[in-house]
Amino acid sequence: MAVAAGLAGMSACIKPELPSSEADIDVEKFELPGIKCLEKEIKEGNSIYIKVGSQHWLSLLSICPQIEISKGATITPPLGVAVDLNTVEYVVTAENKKSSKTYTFNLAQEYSGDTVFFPFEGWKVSSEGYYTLNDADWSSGNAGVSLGLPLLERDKIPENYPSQMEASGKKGSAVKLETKLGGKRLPFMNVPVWSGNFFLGSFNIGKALSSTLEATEFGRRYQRKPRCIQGYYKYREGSGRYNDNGTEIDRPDSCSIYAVFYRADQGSSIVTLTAYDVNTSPRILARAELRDGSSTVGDDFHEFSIDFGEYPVEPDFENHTYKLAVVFSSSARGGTPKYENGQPAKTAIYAGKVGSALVVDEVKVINY
Amino acid sequence: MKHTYPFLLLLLLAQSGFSQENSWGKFDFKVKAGANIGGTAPMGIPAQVREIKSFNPLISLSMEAGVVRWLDARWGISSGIRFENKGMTTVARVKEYAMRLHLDDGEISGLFTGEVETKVKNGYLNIPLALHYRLLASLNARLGGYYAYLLDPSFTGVACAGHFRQGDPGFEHNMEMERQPYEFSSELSKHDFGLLGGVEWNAFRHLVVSFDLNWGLHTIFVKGFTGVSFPMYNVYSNVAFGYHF
Repeated sequence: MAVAAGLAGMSACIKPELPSSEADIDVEKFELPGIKCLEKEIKEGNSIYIKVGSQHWLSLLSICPQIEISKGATITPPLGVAVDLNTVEYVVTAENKKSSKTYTFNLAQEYSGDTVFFPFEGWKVSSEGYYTLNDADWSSGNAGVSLGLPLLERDKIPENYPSQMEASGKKGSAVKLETKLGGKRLPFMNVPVWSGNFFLGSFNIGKALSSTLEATEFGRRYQRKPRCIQGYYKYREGSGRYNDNGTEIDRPDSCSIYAVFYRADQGSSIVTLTAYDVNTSPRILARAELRDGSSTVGDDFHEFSIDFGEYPVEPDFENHTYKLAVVFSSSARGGTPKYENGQPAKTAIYAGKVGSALVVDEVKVINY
Repeated sequence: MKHTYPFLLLLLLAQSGFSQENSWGKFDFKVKAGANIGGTAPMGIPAQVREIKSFNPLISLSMEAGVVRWLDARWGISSGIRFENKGMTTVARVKEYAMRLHLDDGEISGLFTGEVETKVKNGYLNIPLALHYRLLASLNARLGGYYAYLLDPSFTGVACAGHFRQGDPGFEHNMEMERQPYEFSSELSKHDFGLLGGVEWNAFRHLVVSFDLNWGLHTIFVKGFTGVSFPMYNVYSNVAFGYHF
């Protein structure tokens, strides 16, 4: 009785709602009139990545996108005005008029041709101080690491991130992945070592706190049947002991280079595999991987070619959507689920040697 | 040691009493057991709190030994020593609630929108000091203050079913938060003081019943605390039954 009265009393004291400070674009609800967005996501906080079929490419020069923004927020240029998505900057101002966010677009075309080539050229440093490849089909876990660096009292500079740019690649620049010491008891994520990773797919920062393994979304829409992946790499494992999820043991580290081709449609929705289920999903049609991930000889790049092998069933591109994931990691067990009876558990394992470094360049996907 | 002064006062009161051979009517000694019901709350609910979905006082017991030194027929001074818990749980719906999630040796700050479950259960050693006024032969009122020393801190919570915005303005990340526990137990102030007022009724020859309101004037958090963006105070009523010697 007294409690009920107290509760009623307190509820009477609820103040009027303050205007919101959120200035977000809801990318799930972003649409282009008459054009299907094959992929869309927010990258690095305020870059909208859109992939369309190549036949629509020129339409993006003048188009009125449908955009949903945070409640009470305003947007300029206003909706209904045709814009060139290549150059437009949308400024969303929150309901409170104080905070705002500037959005730009990162546009991509669907893959076509018998060979898809990734030269790993063209990088920039994000607002959080890590390198991102201009080709936004590729992502790394650096955005997740950026949450942890201040806790370890490390600066947000490119060298402190496990996924970096290497200036002297096989040809031009390359991807450099280096396993870093994490935090023994970082909040939200017990990550003793941060393995460098770089993958065809996206990093979903929204999942970084709630289910870390599901933040790495592996795979991009790929309506061709891949035969093999070729490229150049060099790998040197770190000099210290192997950190096995927090315990130091004696064993060698190894890198991982693998690719997974899978069916992504489920009814009308599209799914993406993550670090959680990329090894066990029944959706996988074919898998290619580097068998020996140990240190390479000398300082030179070595060529690799990994084959998808026989397909148990032929992909049906007329009726289904497929995705291709290509994943590089400086420590093979740096961010995998713990397996129980062959099934992945939600607990993650972060293992590897600090300093293990993998450099990859000039990657090609060769299709049938 | 700030908290030793009331002890000394109590000793003095007691000592002077015994030295006067405990003259009839001058001293009342009693032991009491009771319960605290109330809340640890901000003064005025911040606008970031949109709804209080539930509030449950925890069963918080108190044990007290007290003495009243009567100065004349109507006025007296009382003190005592009380071991007590002050606790409650609440579930509140919040919007853009500035908080620092602190776990083990790291922390992360941001704005949380969703539900916050808070559980407070603090054990205090409380020393009241009050002026008594005899309203009726068996009923007296008192008004004074208290000092409390925190012996057993516990302030825990869970941020759930919401999203957490973190990062520099303009580049914030919106992160799902299903169930994220946090704890501020180690950031609670050791000292609390406040006002007290209440009545005490000598129901029978040896039975005493009392009701008090203890209103904290000192935030429960340490100085410079940034885990939540507003101070919180202990406001608890105490109902006790006791033996009057």
